[in-house]
Amino acid sequence: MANTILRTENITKRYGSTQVLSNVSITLENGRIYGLIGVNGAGKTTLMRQILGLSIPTSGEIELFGKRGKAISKERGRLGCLIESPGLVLNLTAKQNLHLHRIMHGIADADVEDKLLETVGLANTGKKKARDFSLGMKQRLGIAIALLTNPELVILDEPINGLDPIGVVEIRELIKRLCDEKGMTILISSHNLPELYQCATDYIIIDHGEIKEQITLEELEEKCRHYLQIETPDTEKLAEVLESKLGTTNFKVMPDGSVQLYDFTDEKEKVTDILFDSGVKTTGFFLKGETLENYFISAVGRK
Amino acid sequence: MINLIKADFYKIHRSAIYKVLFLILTACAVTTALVSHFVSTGDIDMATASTAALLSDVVMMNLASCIVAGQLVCGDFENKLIQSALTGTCGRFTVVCGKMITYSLLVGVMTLPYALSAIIGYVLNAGFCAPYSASVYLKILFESTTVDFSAQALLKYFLITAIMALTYTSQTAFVFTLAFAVKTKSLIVTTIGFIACVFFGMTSSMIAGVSDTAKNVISWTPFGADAYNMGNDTEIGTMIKVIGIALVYIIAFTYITYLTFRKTEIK
Repeated sequence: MANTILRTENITKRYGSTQVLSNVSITLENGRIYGLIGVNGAGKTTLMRQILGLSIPTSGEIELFGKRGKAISKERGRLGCLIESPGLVLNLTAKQNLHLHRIMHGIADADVEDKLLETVGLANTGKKKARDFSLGMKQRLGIAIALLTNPELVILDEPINGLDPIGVVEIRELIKRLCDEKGMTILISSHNLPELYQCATDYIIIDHGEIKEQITLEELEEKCRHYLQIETPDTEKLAEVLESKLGTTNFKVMPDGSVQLYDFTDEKEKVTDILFDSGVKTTGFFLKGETLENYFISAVGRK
Repeated sequence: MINLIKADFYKIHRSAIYKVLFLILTACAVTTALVSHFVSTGDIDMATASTAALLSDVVMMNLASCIVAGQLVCGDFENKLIQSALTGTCGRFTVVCGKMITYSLLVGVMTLPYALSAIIGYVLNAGFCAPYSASVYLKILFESTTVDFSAQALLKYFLITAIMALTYTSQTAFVFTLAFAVKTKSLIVTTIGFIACVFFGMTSSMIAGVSDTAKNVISWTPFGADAYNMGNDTEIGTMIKVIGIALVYIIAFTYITYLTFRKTEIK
């Protein structure tokens, strides 16, 4: 059952005369992966920092696990986070860094250190100090630290920055696994929609500090789906031909009588030939649909 | 809060800078005691001893405390341990109090070389000169020649060394506030803090010399002469006054730090 984990209501953040967040209202429900997407400087990190209590909103309210006001401070113990670069003590090893955070958070279970290092692929780093880690290794260790408290909501700010392609896939798989197996809710930011498309179940598009859209993966796929738009004065005949001659029912008749055909997008000539041979008059025939990038650009209202 | 303090000490235990600092302070404490001894034997003249006064606790503890404040606070902003604590269940007040406790304990540990060298010197009674610097530890060494060894005197000297640790914490408590305000530049905190400590120390003694009223006013600060003049003849009332002043300053600066930090942005 979907429970609301986090709700922000009209969060506004101003630094002097600069407004970096403007009436941001989002809702996160448990067990989903939310992709917070926006260009650099859109307000992604600032929003995350408000949620985490590292910055205080100028106005607006945050509800975390059903709690508001000062009570959310305690609820933040149910969060894990990686904001910008991971916070590591560079003269400590991966395990010692985890041990340090385990002490800080008062976690008794010592086994969790090895399990997490295994999970993020750092089990074999031994005595290597964090200062000698690659950027990708540091990111992984940062994720391990974020997961240390077995959080219900994990907030990851651009976690795959600096990772090699294999690392990107591994972290993506890890994020999916955490959501599927442990039911964690994940809020992950990126400026790259195709990257988020690989793992997110929901998308929050932010630009200039404003939420432009919050949509589900299904809605996004629907909007980015490629299709052939066929316009005809005889919709019934067109539908009959599509079913009988092309053997597809994967089309939708729109209110204006046009038909959106989701199959054969790569076989336009075949479709036009069959329609012509079947005597279907077409007044319009277009390949339509957005790429993810174009959809994002149109959502934020930029050309 | 206990977890924060434990985590701090885990990190400190693994950090080279604190160990190096402790070794330097140990070398300075031993040198200070040796200079006092050699002045008393006539092997070193007073002019050389005055130069060696730079290695005494009066200078070195202020410097060490400023370094500790910079590392403990600014270092933890840099490696995001404070952010991690805040995004856990710790409030900002808890973080500030936890850091102040760690800071006070660390300053206490850093005074150990001076305290131990003074007490060992007192027990050995190897012959030491009159203090060539306004240092309680040099006074203890000197008193080894004038105060008979007794358990009661030893206990009092232990108490005095503990009070001095508290006094140094209170003298440099403003550096702790500065560190929370500056956040990520430990070198700036250390430099400004140390210069300010030296300035306050010098100014306080100058002001105290102007009149009895001024002296009385300064005596209610951690830079007052009462703290530096503690010895076997110091009355309990004076000790309580020094402890009280130190605690008031530490608590006051902890609260000021909290007010400064309460709503600041954390990168």
